[in-house]
Amino acid sequence: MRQDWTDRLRSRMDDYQETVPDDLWDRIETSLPVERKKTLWMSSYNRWLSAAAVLTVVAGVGYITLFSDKETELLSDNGKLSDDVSYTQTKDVDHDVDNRLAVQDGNGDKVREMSTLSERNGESGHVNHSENVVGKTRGGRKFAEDSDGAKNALAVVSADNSSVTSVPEEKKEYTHRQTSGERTEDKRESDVIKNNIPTNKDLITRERKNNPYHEMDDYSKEYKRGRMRRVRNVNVGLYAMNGSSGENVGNGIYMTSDMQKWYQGHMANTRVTATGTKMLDFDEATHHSAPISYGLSVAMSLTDKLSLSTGLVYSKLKSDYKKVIFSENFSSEQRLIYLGVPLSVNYTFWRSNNFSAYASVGGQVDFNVSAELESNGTTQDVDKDNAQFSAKLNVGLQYNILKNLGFYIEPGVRYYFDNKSAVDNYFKEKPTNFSLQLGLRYNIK
Amino acid sequence: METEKELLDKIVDGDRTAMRRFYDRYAGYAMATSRRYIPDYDAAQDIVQDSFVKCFTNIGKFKYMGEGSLKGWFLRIVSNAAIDYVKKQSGLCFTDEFPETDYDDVDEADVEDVPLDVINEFIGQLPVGYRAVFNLYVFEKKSHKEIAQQLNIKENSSASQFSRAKKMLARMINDFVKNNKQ
Repeated sequence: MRQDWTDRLRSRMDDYQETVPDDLWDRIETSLPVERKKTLWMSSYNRWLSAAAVLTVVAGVGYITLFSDKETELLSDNGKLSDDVSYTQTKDVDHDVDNRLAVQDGNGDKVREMSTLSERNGESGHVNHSENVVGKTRGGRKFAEDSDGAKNALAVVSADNSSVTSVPEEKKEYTHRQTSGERTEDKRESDVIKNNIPTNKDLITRERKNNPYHEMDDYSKEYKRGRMRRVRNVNVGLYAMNGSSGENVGNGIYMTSDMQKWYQGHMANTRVTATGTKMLDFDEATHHSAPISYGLSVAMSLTDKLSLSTGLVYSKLKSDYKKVIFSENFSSEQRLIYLGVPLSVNYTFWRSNNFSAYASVGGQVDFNVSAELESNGTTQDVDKDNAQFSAKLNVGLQYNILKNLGFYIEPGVRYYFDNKSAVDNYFKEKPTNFSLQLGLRYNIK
Repeated sequence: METEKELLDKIVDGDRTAMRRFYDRYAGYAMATSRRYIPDYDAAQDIVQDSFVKCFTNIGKFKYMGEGSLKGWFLRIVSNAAIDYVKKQSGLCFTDEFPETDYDDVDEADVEDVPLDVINEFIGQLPVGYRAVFNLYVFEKKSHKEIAQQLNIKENSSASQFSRAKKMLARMINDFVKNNKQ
């Protein structure tokens, strides 16, 4: 019996009001919490302040990330190179090797000739490619080798271009090389060189373990008879590690003093990409893409403004390696997938409608669940990274679609603790970097 | 006149003048509602005062759903506050002592012919249990199930209380009309 007079009653009473005492508002007002007043002038002010803070942090970190000088400095006590050492590619008709690399100085005189990965079978007991890969066998240093596999290095440059090292002059006198014989001499020299090169792995920054082109870095040399010029001595350079970032290029080239000078000059004029190095005719660029992380998060309120947040974060790191060797392009892409567990304390400093803004401090541990490298169209699984710990400072904006469920976007700064692995990625490049995470958060009150 | 949404946003920001405007707009309705449950004027006022404070303090929890939703939410606060008061005060007693009258169920009451303040007063004169159920059912549009939950009674108690309240009120109204027709 709902459709009856009671309904009419209700409609009639809809606009019915009764009078209230005059002082009622005053009594109400005094009962209101005092913070209301503060909130009044604080709220809009606060809002601008928080927005400005967010922008500043984002801009500042972005600035540091994008515009900081990526070039590493070369130590300068390594002697001088002659100017304008250039490189040409020639074919050696005397030997059945192709693709010589001829090093010439500014005067056009050939300083040295080296051949690339030539396969010379037979008489010199030549070893196959993989064993010529010095990078693997010598823990990350690149050497210019002669063709018969005796590891005579000409020059070694540290991976981060911070220094070059050469063999003392008396050992570097290569007049000619014959394909057979003179092995003992070579061997001796190679031993000397081995001894001269510091083998302390710490001196050289990380080799890119998963780079399939290490073998490409190495090229064996063929020296034309009589075309050698006696090289001047070079200081034995210091191997020093550049402390700021992990440059990842694993190719070191042993250089003469002339070459060193050229190299330094060249480096100064060359725009270095994020992690690129140029040397000889050998171009290499590595680009690590800045990752965006996606997260599912659960937050527990501790107080009205503080909450503890954890969850699961998915990050995909992509790194592109490009190498140009004698104008041939080789590129590969490394893909690493990390799953991480973050833990942070969030402080909400602004709330309005369904939005809230907060500052967050905490840490995260990431586990590399998938690592693969695609090169030349084939994909292979590569060694996984160790567990990666990081500390983070973020600001976040959350939009609640339901009372307890919201989308969030968190830009911020992260510091990645070195996890001593050989896997190379964006975080190894720049331990302190800008991060961006998007996700869904469920709030528990 | 500003919309509810505009008013709401300012109140959320802590704008005192907006709160005052809200008060001016809805205090009268609040008082009318409160007196339906609590005929005592002073007690009704206190309920209204508490309700406003509660409203402003909890404004963050309110989800705006269209013009009028703020008023509805606020008046619900008032009715809940009133019920709580009544529960505490009198212990709602649901009495069956009023005899079932023999007259036909009064299906009709001439509500149009009675001034609103009189109706409001009549409602306030109902026995407290009837009053509570009647108000919740008719004005707060709650179901008997919800009423039963709120008042801690059985659902069919709510239904029977309501039907008795209706009859009583209808009689009061009709008597009034009869007496005032001359």
